[in-house]
Amino acid sequence: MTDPAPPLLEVRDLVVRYPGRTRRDAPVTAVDGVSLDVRAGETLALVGESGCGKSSTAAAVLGLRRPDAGSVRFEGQDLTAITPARLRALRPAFQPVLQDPYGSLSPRLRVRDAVAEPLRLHGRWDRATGPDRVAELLERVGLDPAHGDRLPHELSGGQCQRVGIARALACEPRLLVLDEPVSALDPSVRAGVVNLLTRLQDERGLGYLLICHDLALVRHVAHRVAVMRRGRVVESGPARRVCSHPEHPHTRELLEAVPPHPGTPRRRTLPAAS
Amino acid sequence: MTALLSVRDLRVTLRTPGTERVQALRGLSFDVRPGEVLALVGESGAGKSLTARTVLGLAPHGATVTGSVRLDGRELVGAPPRLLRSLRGRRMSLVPQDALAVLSPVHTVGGQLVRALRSVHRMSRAQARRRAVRALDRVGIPDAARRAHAYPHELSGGMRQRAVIAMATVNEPALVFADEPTTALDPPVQARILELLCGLGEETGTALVLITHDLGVVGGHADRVAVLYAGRHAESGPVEHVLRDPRSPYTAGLLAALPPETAAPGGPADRLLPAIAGSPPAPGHLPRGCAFAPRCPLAEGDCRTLEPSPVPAGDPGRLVSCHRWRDLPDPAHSLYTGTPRRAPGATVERGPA
Repeated sequence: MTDPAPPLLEVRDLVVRYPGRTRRDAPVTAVDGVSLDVRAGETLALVGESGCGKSSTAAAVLGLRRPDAGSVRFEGQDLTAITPARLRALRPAFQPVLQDPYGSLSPRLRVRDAVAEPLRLHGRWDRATGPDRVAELLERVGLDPAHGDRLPHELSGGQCQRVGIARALACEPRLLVLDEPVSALDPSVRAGVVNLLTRLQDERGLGYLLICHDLALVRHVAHRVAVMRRGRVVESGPARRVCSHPEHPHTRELLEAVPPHPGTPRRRTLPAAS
Repeated sequence: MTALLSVRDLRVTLRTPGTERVQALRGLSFDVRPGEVLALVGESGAGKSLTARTVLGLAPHGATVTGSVRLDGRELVGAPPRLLRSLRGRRMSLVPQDALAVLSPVHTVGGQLVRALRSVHRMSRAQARRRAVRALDRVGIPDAARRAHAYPHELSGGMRQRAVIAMATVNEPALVFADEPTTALDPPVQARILELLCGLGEETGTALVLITHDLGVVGGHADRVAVLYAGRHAESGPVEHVLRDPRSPYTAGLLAALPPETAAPGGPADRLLPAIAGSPPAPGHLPRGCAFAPRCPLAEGDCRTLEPSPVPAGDPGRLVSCHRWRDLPDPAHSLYTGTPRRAPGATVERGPA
């Protein structure tokens, strides 16, 4: 690789603690010294079992949770050290796409208004060009602009997730934090949404922090992988190397749990004929 | 082999708020043989869970059920609730998706098992207690005697799902429905739970109907598979045959869309997955003809007017509901990968076969 560009996102020695269940309990350390980088045009997948600290890391990256130690730098600016006003101004540049396609949209907001909302919030709404911008965003995520009149419950899960992606794209972000973006979708529409994300990345050089427990998918779409366990990154590297030559036993365990592609013939223990 | 469960032309009409009535299951037929693992695969709204609930006599309130469901030859459609109640837990049972939803939060796991046992068998509390601990031990809960005293919230997700499996199997039913039993669990735990569930049959001869939306998990675990789409049969047969050589364009599309086993070699085009266009129809808003036709690359003429019924598809034990299954290219997934298929009149140089 030639002269690597400075990372879009730089996380260093991140620590996130939650208070214990009672006041006497010790605090729970959910993220324990995590460091990672995401470059423009690159997908870093964060994998691990539930409770390993993936989502807490994402919350800190999105500036939704102040870390207890460490730094989160977005394009060189430390999100943990800047003023709230500055953070707000920077927010459009890094946007989340969440897991639950229905839960992340207001049930009473028409699709058109849901997509316009981030533009309005960040003072980028222009009455003359706004509607065209919304239509363009809907088209970009593979929806008919006529879908703008609908309410979320009139859409399928895949369509709702596309609306969520259009919202995230509205303010021209450079980094998307994708928290299990397809695991709640029906299998026949999952690939379409994955492809949409891949195309958007290639067109615009978006950086993706992808939180995903589906290693078969990670292996296919991610450039690099960081494996987390109990709040720490136990292994990281290029997706191809980590998935084909895992070094940490935990990575191996996660990979062994990936069901083999059902299309390929393989040995199978048949139940003894009785 | 005679079927343990035989479902014929099962139709379930639901009353939905607002709209009138929606036929959610539209003439489904399948058999379950003793001791086998049958995977019922489909997307949300395909009717998988409704099938299980209907067989168990737990169809939603106000549902109209027609057709036939026979367990051990006994008709269950229209059977008195008392009969169904006596069969549930004893001859057939359910492992639901969400273990917390079926376990009582205010009773210990062991206590709930004791109750399940004593509702069926005449046995003393102490006897039931011993059986309960054995049941927990059998599903791989370490230190079962101590864990029997635990409340559900004191167990991890995987342990809880094991406890529910223990409850569903403690009375050694002939048939267990597992409705998405592992979707809430981490992959390594998922694999262990599936192994446990599918291994039950080998010991006790229990048949398992594994309900899932994930074709990936079917491969390693089921003997036969039935794929549903929009409340109807799409394709069924022995698992290896269906997954390796699908005969329905829908199954072919699901398989094509799964990420391959090797990492993408590099270029952006390599990272794109072959995807089925559109999304599944909402129940009550079905297209005319085959429900999959609007998304199907092979659809033509008949497909848009006439709903296909299951027909034998080549190998023994295989059925497909598709007018055009004979026109599926080889390999079937090339239907979605964009590689040219039998272009009429095209002069294609063919390499050695």
